[in-house]
Amino acid sequence: MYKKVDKLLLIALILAIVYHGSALLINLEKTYDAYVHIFFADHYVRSWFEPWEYRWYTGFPITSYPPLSHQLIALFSFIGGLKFGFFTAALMMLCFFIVGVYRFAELWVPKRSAGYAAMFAVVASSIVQTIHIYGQLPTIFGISCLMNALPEVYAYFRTNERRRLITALSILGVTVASHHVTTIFGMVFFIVPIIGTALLDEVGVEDAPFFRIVFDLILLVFKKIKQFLIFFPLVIIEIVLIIFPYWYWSKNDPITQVSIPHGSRDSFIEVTSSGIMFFVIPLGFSLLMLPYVFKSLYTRRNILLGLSFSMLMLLGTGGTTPLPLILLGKNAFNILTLDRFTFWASVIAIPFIGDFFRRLLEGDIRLYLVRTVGKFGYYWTLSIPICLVGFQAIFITNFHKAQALQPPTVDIDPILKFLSTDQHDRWRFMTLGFGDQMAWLSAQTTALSIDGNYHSARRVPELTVEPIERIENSKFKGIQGIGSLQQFLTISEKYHLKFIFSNDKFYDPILYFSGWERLQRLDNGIMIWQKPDVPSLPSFLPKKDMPKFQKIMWGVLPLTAFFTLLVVIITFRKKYLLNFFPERENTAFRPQDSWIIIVWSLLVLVFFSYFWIKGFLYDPRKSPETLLKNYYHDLDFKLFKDAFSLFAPSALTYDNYILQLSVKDGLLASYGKLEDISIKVKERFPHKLKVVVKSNWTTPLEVYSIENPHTLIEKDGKWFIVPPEFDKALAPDEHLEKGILALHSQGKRKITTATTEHDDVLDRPELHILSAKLIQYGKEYVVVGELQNVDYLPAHVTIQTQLYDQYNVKLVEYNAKYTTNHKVLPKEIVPFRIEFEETAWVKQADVNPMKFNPTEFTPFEFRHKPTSFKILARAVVADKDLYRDVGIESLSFDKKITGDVINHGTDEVSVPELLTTFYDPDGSVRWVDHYFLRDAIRPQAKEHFSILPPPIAKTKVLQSATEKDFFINGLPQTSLAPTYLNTGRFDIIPQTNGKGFYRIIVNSYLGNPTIY
Amino acid sequence: MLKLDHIVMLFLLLWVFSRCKHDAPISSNGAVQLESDSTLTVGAGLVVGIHPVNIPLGEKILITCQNSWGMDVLEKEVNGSSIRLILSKKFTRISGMITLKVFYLGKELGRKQIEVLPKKTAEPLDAYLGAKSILADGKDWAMITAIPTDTFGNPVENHTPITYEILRPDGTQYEIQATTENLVSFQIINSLTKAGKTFIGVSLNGVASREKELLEVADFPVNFTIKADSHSIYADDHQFFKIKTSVLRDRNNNIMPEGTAVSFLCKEPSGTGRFLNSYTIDGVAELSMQNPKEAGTLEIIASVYGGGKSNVLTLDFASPIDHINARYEAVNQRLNVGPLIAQLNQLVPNGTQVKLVFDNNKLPTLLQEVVDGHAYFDFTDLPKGDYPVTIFVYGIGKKFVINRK
Repeated sequence: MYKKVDKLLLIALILAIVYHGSALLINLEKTYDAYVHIFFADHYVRSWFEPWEYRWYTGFPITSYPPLSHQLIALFSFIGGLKFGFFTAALMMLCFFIVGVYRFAELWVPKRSAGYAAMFAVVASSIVQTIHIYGQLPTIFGISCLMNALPEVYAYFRTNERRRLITALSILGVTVASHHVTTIFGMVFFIVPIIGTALLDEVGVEDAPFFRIVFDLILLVFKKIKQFLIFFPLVIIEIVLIIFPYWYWSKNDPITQVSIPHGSRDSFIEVTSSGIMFFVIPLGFSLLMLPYVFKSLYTRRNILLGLSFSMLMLLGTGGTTPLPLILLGKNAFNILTLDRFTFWASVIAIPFIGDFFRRLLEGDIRLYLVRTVGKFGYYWTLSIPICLVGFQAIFITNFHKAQALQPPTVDIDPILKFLSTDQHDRWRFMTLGFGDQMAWLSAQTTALSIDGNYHSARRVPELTVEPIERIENSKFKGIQGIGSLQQFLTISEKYHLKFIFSNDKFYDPILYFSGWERLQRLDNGIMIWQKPDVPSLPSFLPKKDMPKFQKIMWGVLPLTAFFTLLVVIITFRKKYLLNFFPERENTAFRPQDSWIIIVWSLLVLVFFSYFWIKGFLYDPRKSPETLLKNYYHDLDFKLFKDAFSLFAPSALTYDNYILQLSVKDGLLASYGKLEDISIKVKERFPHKLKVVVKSNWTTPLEVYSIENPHTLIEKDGKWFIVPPEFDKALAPDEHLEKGILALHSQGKRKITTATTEHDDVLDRPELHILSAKLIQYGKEYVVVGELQNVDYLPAHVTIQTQLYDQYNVKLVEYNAKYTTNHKVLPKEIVPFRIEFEETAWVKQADVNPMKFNPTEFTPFEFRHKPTSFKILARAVVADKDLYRDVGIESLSFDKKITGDVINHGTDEVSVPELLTTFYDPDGSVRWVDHYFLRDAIRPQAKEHFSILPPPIAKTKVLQSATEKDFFINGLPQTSLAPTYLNTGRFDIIPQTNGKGFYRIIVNSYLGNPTIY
Repeated sequence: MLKLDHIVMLFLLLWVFSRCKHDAPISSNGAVQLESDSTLTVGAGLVVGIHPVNIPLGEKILITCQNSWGMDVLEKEVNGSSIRLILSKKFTRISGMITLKVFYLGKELGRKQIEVLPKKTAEPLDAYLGAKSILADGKDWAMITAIPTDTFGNPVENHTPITYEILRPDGTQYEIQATTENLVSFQIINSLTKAGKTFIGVSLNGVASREKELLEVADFPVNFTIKADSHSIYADDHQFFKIKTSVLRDRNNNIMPEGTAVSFLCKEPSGTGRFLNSYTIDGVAELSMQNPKEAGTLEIIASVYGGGKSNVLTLDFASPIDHINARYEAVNQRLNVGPLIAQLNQLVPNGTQVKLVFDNNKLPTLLQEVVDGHAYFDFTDLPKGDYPVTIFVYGIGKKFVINRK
């Protein structure tokens, strides 16, 4: 029986506070999840007993996540704010974890080794990663409690002491209140092996034959059946009771969600970055120690924990082998993030690594090494693992410097100020390019965001069916993500979404072409986009209420569990840290087996060094294929210096190359993301190749497939690219002068905080729909048409179409998206095409589509054929985005429609969109199409285009609408007839086939409009 | 002749009416008297004396206070033979009749009616104008509405006279007298044919409204003209010239509002088309247009849908070059097209396109841009032989044979 705790535990605790405390001060805002937990904590600060949280999605129950860690942050925040609360709770639980590791280690290794294990736990890579990269406080809460509960469970089954049972249950109560997943899997991978080990210890495993042990074990189980019948039912009751509202929610919430792709399910061989992030980093130094850990675990006594460790390691390999999928089943495999298994495996390894260090520093391995390699050699050998452990801790703590985990810190004060003034918080907002800082923003305001950062609670239909955690990071999710964002931007009035805070210009074209406009740039550089004509939120928002007793349970029981634990620990404080069982000497690993570790470590190091050296010595110019792949990779990641190094020597200098690129803007140059390339050799010559590279680019608006010819030349066994040629045309005029239209809507009253008065309400500009048709195109139905602004002010238009079946039952409604110009000048005519989109990936069969079809479109599935439609157009006065100085030249319509888009104004057009309208012989619209040009157009410059003629032959007119089908600003168009002088069209050209007319206008997105 | 069933029906009706009771007239014949002023002005406090009260001390009576918006119920403890009830301003904010009733144990003990008179009309007088803009076509109209109320929102009496003073865009100023009818007074304002602002003031007994403003704007424009401001006569596909419209006006000679869209449709000398757009500033739409690629006539027409169109403007352009120099450089195995000399013996602009078409059509057409008067076509990879080609610059062609050795 020991009277004292090893002093290394005290050192470990001090080290943890100093090291993690100082590092967390820097890393807190750079982690993935810290702000999410802070947001949850903020909920409890604002309303402890009200579980409905309005601020994310369209509202979600806070009962969807175990509350204790958040409630503790909330409690601490009353002292020093939310960040202080997180910081304090994290350090408190880290210390508890280190104590837990020490106590857990005492079950397997000597006390001194347990002290070393506590020391190692401070810098264990999985712990450092969980705190400083993931910011996963509940996981730390869960594992801390589990580590502390295990010795009590062991002791209870050995001694049958009630004190042990009470302590074990009180700790497990806190575990479940903090992180239910740890409790549930902990029962399987930790508690069951521990109970088994306790029973094995009782029957004795050292010298008895195997069948005798099994027989004795079965007898013992029957002897202790009462303990089993007490322990397990009580634990289950505890698990169910403490977070009962969580189980109730997860059982009853009708929302079915698509699982989110997670790198931990990747094949780590195919996706090495996932392997590094979810397997190599969590294991870290433990990876080198695997021979020691396995040898220590695979003994008669430790076999159950050894099996648990092996299983966790296997599950942690994700999709590298099919075994985890077979073991977990498809459903669990797609829902769980598998890195948690690696995390738990790494925790199991800690006691044995501690034991290794004890033996290396002051035990038999030290003696063996000194004897074998001498004292000097020993110190060198010793320095290697110590340096590696130190390096891994420093590396992971500073991981964000090597790999940015979050966008640079955004000063959110200007955004908060914006939201709180002029009643901007009466609409929902969304952030783009904020990373997890959006959660921090939400925690500081009561304004509602349509987005959120907690995927399990996604309630908005557009979010629940697409595998995208938040819209905020949709650009990283390929078309699926962008599809979700587009649907939100198109029908934003449905969600009262009016403001978007954009920290990433990638999204700008989507916003513009979906009818959004730039409102202002804040002091922190964030651009505010707004959608005009979106109704404000109603005074009362719907919520899913829950019974009062559940609200009280949720607010009271987790904290009760926590304070119960405090009371129990304080009561048993004198015995809590002491181990009353004999010390366990690890004899499975003999000092002379050290060569296994050395060989294994060398193998691991050689394995990683191979890839590193291979990458270091890699010369992309060794073959045409690698040359082109690297060239496109460099272009994609804007590594222009690297790209230039692949060019054959020519008159083009690097400075000139950069200069030429710097004046190049457009959808591809500024907003494109390379998906893949394929190379086709067109002609072969000696030392020369002519190839065509087909590259697919994802841009915010469309996926482009581009074919670029290249000439490659070989010189001294290396291949080079002949540099591209740049635009040679010169602008004719040195200066351009032009009068432009400027409009400012300012209202007509004194500046006041009072709500809207009648005088403030502007007239809605009057529109007139000239014609519209319901068209069937394959299985898809679209509505095409044309409208004119017949008012005297520019208008921002929202065009909505409702489709009806033969029984006049409304089937669907949708808004015009890209195929129109949302800003219409007085007397200007714009075409529109409205497609009816189903929310993408709705079907179960579509779950988790890892690969997407670039031309994927999810038409609305009509149960009845639409037979009629109504168009509801509405307008508000527009005072932005009125650039019209772009036109078409050299236009011809033969097999293709070709021409040049010319910019005769004073601003560069970043993304020009052609809107082509095709008319029937009677002048009514038959088809409307859009086409985005990939390059920007500078003033007095032009870009060639060539587009396919419309698929009119494949379309069928279902209905030509009459005036009674049109509604303008809520009124029937029949009551608003404009006084046309004549209705002849002098702005359309006859088609060459004589089947009607056509017209092309240009909708221009200016990335950097001139500020007057 | 009356039928029997009609007689029975008649008697039945008479019997039903005879059973109907009128509400008892409001009187002070109950057990208690309510004493107060019978009229007061809105917002004033009201003191009501209730006596004699023959109810045990400590008991509670209920007093209902009903006005035209609803009823309040007050509770009062009996502490003597008379009770003094003070009603705050909130009970007298609505003009009209207030009926006070006193109840004890569900039985009405007495009642009183008090008339609450509206206050003087509050400033500013409520006036609303819609639509805020109309067409200056002599047909369109807007409506000005006045709702005079006191500070508590109580309307003034019916037939209260209201004065509308109106200043029109043509400078005329006139006054209209009207009265309120069912709380409001309104006037239709028909548009004139001159665009501009109409200002309206509404007043009642010296109480005025804010200035109301009606915008009368131009209707669709009538036909207009276009002209080229100054243009070079050479089809160099390079220089820009300006097209301007005359001032766009409607039938009543009003200038079109700023920003009115004007479409320009052009036919190029090569038969291809142009779609260009502009908008009006001070009634004039201006457009920069580039010289065509080929010599010939450029036809331009401008229009505003629903309104007028312009004349067809024709502009003639000559080719800036009259011949193409070209030579094959055997050393570099390339065709040098140039120097390309333009009309003033200057080099053609950089970026001018040179098209090379293989006459046998077996090889694809090549395009190059001119830099410093020259365009180069590389034939290093071309198999040896003679290749007849045609070189095109500004629509002018030149035959040439490339002798690849």
